[in-house]
Amino acid sequence: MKKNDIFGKIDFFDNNGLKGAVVKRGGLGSISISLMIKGGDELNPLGKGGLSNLFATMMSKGTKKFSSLEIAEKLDFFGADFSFKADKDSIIFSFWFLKEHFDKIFPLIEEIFFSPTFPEDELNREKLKSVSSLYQMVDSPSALASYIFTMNIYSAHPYGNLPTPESISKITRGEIVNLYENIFKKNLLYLVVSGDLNAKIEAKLLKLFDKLPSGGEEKKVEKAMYRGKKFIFFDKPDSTQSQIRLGFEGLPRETDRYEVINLMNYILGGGGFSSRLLLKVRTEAGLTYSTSSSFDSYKNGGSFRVSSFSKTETTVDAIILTENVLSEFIEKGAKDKELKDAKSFYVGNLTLSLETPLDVAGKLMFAERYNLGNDFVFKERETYKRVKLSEVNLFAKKYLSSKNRLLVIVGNFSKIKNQLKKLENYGKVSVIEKLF
Amino acid sequence: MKTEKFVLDNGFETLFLKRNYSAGISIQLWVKAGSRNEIPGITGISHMLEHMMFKGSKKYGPQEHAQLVQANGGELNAFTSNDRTVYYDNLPPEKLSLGLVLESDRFLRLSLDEKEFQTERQVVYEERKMRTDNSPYGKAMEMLFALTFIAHPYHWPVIGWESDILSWTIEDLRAYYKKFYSPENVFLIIAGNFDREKARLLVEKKFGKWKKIELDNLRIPKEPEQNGERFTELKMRVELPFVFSAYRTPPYGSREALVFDIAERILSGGESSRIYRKLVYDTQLALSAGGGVYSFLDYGLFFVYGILNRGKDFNSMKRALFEEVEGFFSGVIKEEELEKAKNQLKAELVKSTEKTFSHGMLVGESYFYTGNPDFYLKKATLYDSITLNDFKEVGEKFISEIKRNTVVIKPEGKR
Repeated sequence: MKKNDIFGKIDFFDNNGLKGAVVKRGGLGSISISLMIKGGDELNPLGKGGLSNLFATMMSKGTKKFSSLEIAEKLDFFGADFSFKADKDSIIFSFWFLKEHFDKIFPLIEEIFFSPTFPEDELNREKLKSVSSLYQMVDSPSALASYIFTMNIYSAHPYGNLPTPESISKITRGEIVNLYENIFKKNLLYLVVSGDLNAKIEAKLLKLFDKLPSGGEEKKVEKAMYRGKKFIFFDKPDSTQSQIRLGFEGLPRETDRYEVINLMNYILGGGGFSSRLLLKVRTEAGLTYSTSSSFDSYKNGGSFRVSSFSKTETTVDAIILTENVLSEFIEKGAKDKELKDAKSFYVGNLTLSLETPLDVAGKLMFAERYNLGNDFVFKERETYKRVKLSEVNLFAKKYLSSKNRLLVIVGNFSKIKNQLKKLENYGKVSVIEKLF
Repeated sequence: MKTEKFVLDNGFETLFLKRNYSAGISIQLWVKAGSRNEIPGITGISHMLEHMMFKGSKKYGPQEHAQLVQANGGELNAFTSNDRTVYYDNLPPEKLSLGLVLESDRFLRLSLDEKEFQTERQVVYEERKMRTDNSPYGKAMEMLFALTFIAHPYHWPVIGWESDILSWTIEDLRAYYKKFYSPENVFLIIAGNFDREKARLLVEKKFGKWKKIELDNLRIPKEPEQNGERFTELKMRVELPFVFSAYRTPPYGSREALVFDIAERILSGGESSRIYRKLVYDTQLALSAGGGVYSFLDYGLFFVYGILNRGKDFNSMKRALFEEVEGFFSGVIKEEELEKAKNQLKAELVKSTEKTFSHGMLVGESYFYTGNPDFYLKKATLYDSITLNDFKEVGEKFISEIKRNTVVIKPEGKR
């Protein structure tokens, strides 16, 4: 399929099982390469949380021809940006560099993807860094609150199998090698090359990735579920402000009419200055600097969460006000004007948010991962235009009414405990002082 | 591509950056005032005013500006720094008029309502708690500036001291708005895909009646010479101790500031950089280590940091960091290192021009700091003119133990 749009010229391909796209936009002087593996948290065995991320990091830590330092030296020398990261549903490797350096960077890319050696000493370095990073996270109340929320909302599901110092320490080189051998296969990969491409560069890149082995099958995973009520308080006695995460089970990204969810959440808490939560909790009440809601929707389930913070003295007030906004939204629904504005935002902003070839690459990978179709990038705007108010209000009742709630607070317990009776609907509070 | 400038009779300047391939436009208003323009007792007021710019003007109610931009497919925000306050609206191309109408209303006729002010003060108080008081790294950065600058307004945080946040009055804000939000003290950038003539007419219509006022000469204190290390150690509930150190350097646009841009790349630009290799890779003393450069109107700040890895010795990490930085300027620098740093800086410049918004920001920064909106286009050539000898010179002048300012944060109960 070929499309010419403001996004550039997009050619989709399927080369002997390897699917992907070429996004051409002349004049920029830069090239981006993004390779997505269709697999994320489900690749981590129980008790081995963090394996997929460690694997992604280790891909650039040594190859047959180059040491870790040589790779870093060469990529840095040409001012190339690269990022290797694992997420809930995918592992993404991306490079950005100036076109004039293509011939120098190409051999490195070839080595990284086709001849990684995963040296033991490099693995030990990365493991120590990963463990220290987890302790560093505890020093960030916001990151800590999100971590505790994610771990508990998904609990025994692979999405809740997060890295811990213990899980990281148990990961072996053999497991990383095994992962590489099992997932670097055409059926599990999606490639986007983009930017200021010419025929020679395009052909060279496509020929390179055509060497990948065929086959590969995605691991089947059950849907994530959350039941019951849970209230976790991480006590930080020196805090003067509390981080708040509250939410419940959400839904998979492949849910039909997902655009209705996006519009509904925009009105409730995803639309920044236009959202009800920000208007009520920040602008009118002055209880926070930031509050937002999101549906974190993945391949095998998801969650809904409100993320906010408030000073110790007003923490409970902020939570109660958030609950009231949520209840009113479910009960009375959105207004015509709110939906009209939300639709206009998505319709207008989708183009602005795809300004660079790397942005377009991200969207194409997203569409592939969630089976949205090659034409998703062109059609998405139209899907928003069709949404009706009755649908938004129906979805609000259906997806925001769960009584199975999780509340996480990171803050100063002794200064708040007397007010916690007001939060009885979350069940009995569990206070923790140490994570690891 | 070069920018075009035109000036209205009241002194209001507009810069056009035409990018016909852009999917949208970026409207940016740069106010030549930030925390540098404040005085003790009202620190943080520049940032507070930035918040109040969203809280209603003559025609539009609180948050209506933001809601209208978003409802037209756009995005917007603002930020305050030590030297400047910048507002932006990124919009589809056909919404240029809307953006200018909205900006003109708040720049010429801001409401500054007492009730809105009292609520927003609480919002800013929450912001300070989040960014600084409950963040060990935010706290350390605040202390680092306070140590490095003792006379100059860069001493205080952009968000303001807590006691000042609690004591500003609406009159303070009104006086500040009147003094600094005037046509000669603000400039406009329109970047992206737009019609030049239509834009010019719109700017004249919306900003032409803005009354010019006499600008006061600011009397800004100069920093005294530093002749000894300044050091502070804080005890906090942290898992990993860390060190931040800074050296005062020359202002934006100077040749010496460009030397520090390159030095920062060699020392901390990627995993092959000197600090990373020594502290993170070879010795594994640090979980993370590196540095950065702030370039301001009156001075700059060259800083380095190290966050201790689990089970490693803090003093060994700190010593290694200082040796690496202070030994760098007088030691041997390889030609390849210099070339690598220049390549990185040039690539960053290209990347910044890929997006309409960040391209506009480059133009704004160039104009604000040097008076030449196309200064960023010259930067690559200027970097090329830096030679190995330049490092020795700036090192002798600015980087040594007696010029060092250090903040150490350690876990409570440990020495």
